[in-house]
Amino acid sequence: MTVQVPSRGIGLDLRAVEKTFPGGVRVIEPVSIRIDAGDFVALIGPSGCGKSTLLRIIASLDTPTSGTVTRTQARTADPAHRDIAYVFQDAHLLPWRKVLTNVSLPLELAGVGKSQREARASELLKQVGLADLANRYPAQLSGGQRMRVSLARAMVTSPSLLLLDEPFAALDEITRQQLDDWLRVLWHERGMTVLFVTHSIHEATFLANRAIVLSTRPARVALDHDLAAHLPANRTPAVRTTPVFAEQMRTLFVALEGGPWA
Amino acid sequence: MKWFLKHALPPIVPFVVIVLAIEAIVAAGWVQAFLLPRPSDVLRSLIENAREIGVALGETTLASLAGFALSTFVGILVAIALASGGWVQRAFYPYAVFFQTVPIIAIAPLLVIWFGFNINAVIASAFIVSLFPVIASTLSGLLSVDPSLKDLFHLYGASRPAALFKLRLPYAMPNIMTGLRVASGLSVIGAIVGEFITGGGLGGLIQVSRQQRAIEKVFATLLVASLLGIALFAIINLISYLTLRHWHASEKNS
Repeated sequence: MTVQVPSRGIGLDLRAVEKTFPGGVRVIEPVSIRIDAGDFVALIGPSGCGKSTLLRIIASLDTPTSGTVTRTQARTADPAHRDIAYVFQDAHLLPWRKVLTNVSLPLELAGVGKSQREARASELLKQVGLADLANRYPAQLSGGQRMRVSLARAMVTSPSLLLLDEPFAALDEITRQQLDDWLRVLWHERGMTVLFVTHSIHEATFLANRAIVLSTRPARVALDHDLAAHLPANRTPAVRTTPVFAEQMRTLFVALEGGPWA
Repeated sequence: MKWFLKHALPPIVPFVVIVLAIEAIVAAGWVQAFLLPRPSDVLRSLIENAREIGVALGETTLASLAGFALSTFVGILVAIALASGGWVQRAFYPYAVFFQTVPIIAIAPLLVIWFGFNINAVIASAFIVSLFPVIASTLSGLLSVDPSLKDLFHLYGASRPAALFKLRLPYAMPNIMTGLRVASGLSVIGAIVGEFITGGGLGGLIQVSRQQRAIEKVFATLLVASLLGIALFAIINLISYLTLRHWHASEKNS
């Protein structure tokens, strides 16, 4: 079969994951979280609460002091496939490479041939509406465009789990909402598991099917809330202005403010 | 024409004024001509000795370029080794710092003992003088790679060579260029210091002319030596512009 079926997401199981930095500062209390394959989960918490550390542990960029992280395996015959893709706070493109070769970088590192990886990268750029920017350098793009290129780079390996660490935090509100819409559509089309770290309640409510609110440091789960039960599956921009949306935001807000004193 | 008025004319004006002032001062007899020659005499000496100075220039250019090429190559390799972390860095980095404090000019006589009175000693001198700026700036570039980009490469299972050639060296490029800019000028200085001892090239010609009390020839040779340094510097600047113009702030709008 030559047609690549959109890879389904993979499930994630964190068991009593705990992190103490050298020197004795505990950033994460033992937390246990189970995430279903194909879910869209937002991880919200005050800044410095350890949510980025948790994301890094899930990506194996950091190791927990104790506890385990297990992932289900994706079943795919695609040699360029990577289970995990990670999107950083800023776009983090290589400034000496054009947009096209920035997007094809993960394939290059995986050893995919030049013509094949560039075909795949330009196809993806077309999908995300950046085809005409393929030969530009990152310095010639706007902040929003750079972030889209960064997302395209993350998607080029057809990941089963997309981890995003406050990816749109540095962008202006309008660009941010556009990218939120776009990310939600992307998730619908691809069906991968998404774990999105943010400190914006608004963004979390709009994007996610499930919101996990973390307390101030050391992080523990303050609220685990099912947004999909209250909000429509099709999150059109108009959803942002409905009373139900405001109510959901309030629920998350109370949990966030409650923090350690609740 | 507009560009000329705005960018080329301003530095030319003080040059012309100073040259004319020296000409006038020496012609008036306030400074004796065997201490400071008249610019017109320097120019005449340059034309009269064009052949001799030209040959010397060729030798010095060759030695400078060879020394510069060596220090570029060796300097980048040493920096990569030092940046690899682990025991190599701990064992050798203190020496890399220490050697910068060695007075290179005092080493030149030693080089003649080791290499003989030939161009090899001159190349060695140019190499030693220009090596450390390359090591220091390349090292600082390699060590300042964005941690998130390192994570990215780690996440996609990049091998060490891939990380070096696709991330760390390109990332260090602006720093490397800064080092090469400094090294290009130093390599000419190193070559001329070497030639003071071995006797060839522009350095040798300056020595001989000085002994002959032909001060206008000393100045003519000096002028050519400076032009050589400037030419090398300009070439490195051009290369730097061509490699970095797309992405690095230091080369934008220049």
